Amino acid sequence: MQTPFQWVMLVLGLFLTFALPFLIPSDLLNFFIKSFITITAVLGITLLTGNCGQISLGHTAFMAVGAFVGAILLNQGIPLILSLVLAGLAGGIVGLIFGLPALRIKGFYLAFATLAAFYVIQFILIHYFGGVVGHSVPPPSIFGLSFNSDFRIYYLIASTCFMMTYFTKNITRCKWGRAFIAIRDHDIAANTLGVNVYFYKLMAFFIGCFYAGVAGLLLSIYMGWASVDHYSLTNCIWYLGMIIVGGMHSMSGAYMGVFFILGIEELGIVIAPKLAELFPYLSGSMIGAIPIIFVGLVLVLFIMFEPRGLVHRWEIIKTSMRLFPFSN
Amino acid sequence: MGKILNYIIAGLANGCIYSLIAIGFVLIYKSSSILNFAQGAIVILSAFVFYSFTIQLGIPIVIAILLALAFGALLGFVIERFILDRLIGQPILAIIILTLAFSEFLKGIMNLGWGTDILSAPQLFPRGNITILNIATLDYSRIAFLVITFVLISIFAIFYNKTKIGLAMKATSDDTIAAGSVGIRVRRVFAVTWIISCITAAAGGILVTNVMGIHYKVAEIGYKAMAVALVGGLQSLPGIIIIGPVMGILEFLSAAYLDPLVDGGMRDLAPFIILLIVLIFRPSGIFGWERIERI
Repeated sequence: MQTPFQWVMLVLGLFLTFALPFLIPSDLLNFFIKSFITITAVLGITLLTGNCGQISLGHTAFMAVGAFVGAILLNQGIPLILSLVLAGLAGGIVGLIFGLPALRIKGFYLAFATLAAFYVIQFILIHYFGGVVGHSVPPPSIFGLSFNSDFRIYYLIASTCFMMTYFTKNITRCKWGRAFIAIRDHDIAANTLGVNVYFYKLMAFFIGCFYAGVAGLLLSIYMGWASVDHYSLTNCIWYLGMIIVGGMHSMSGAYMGVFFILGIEELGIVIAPKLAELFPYLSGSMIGAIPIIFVGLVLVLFIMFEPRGLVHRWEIIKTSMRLFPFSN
Repeated sequence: MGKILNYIIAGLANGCIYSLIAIGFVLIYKSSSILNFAQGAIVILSAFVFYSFTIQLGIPIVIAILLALAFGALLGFVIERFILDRLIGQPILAIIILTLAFSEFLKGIMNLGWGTDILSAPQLFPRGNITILNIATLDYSRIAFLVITFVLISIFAIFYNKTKIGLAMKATSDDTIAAGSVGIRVRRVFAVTWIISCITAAAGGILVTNVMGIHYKVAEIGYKAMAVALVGGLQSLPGIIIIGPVMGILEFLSAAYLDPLVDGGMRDLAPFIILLIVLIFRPSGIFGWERIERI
């Protein structure tokens, strides 16, 4: 946000986002709703994994916690904004608890500990909070305006997503964000420099999972139903893949990664029925398998050939455009 | 009393298979510092291939087993040659996501090729059970599990400790650069490592699906084996060979005695809870090495 041009672009972008539902057909609108929910969740991963270096394979489980708590609260008639905050807090506190191993372990051990946390949380939700059936979520309302159609939910989700983006931006450039980056680069070195590693690691988990909780509730509002099926391990893998495809450390990376991967997934969903006609002898369900194969393949290829992500590509293009006649 | 003994023996048999699969994790981790999250998918893919060879193509079981193991070896070789190349030196997150995405990709392929129904594997061992001293009843497949995994792990131990290529693997895992400078072909050793770990995965897959049925969701057994590897300590082969059966026994006991309290599902959860508890008290696993870091 340094030049007037960037301000103009920001206002234009915001205006375009809020005018979007009038311009596009409804199935494309669903794509954007899904994208904005995913971006909210992925921003949490950007903070936790991209900035603080703590890998969490339990992110969708924390989303499910937020969704369940939020659904129960909304059913009790708690106002939407309060429910969103409480859902975020619930996700954050559960994240804090399962982030405790991070104080002693890191790397593969931490990744697998969070994977274990995923299964434990899913078990608890299914057995003690009515998980397999789940909870229905009534369309919430603010000031008498009920979010009962995709068209209206889009505004709720887009504005929440932008608020969270703004929040992320501010965290990454204040003292906390710099502490996160110091821990990511070398936690022992950060400790010797006076960064309270334990406190900031736990805070990274808390904030990252706060995002997860909010995104989880948003998803369940959009679906009208909170069930553990919406928060699978596969989704968690895709979310982590998105920050790699986008570029691990930046918010624009999160946006690019989400749109790119979800776009591939949509492509898979569109192509699958046509492929099923071409290869009738394959016994599996094309519609279930093709998107997974597409996204999995794209992630593998991306990490093999461009591990620094789309943002890195974009920087190269920007630099070469600036140097135009002299670039190679 | 007899009941407990039954659970313990059943757990022991299952746990041996965890050990067998976990050997793959430890070998790969020791040689190249990569934890292969796709192991579970490889386990089940080999089982599917075995299913196709026997049921769909009608190849005799012994030959089909060998072919399925060969398929596992080929898969390991291909992964090593085409993917591992680009992974060494990458950040841990990239490794984790690549192997996880690859495993999802394989699951998608399995879904496409064999569908989502639970297929029943060809009968390897005769049905029925025997009673020992009137206290414990055992079905034949569990006994076969114990014997087969014992034989396989022994073969592997001899291979790893006595043969030339096994010793080269040991040397490479100790210090890759030093091993390279005394003339060990490190890339070939990596290839052998991946091939062996995929063969053990395939063997585990053929065994375990014989009881559980073949379904791509069974790939989660890979995560259980990974819990065994982490509890045992990622650097320690003897560690995981001990921890596997212990974990299996704890799993069956908790299923038997805790399930009534929480209405079911404890069996799939026990390894993860044990892992979380162990990691809090011993971050590098029970037999693993403490990591000493420099700044």
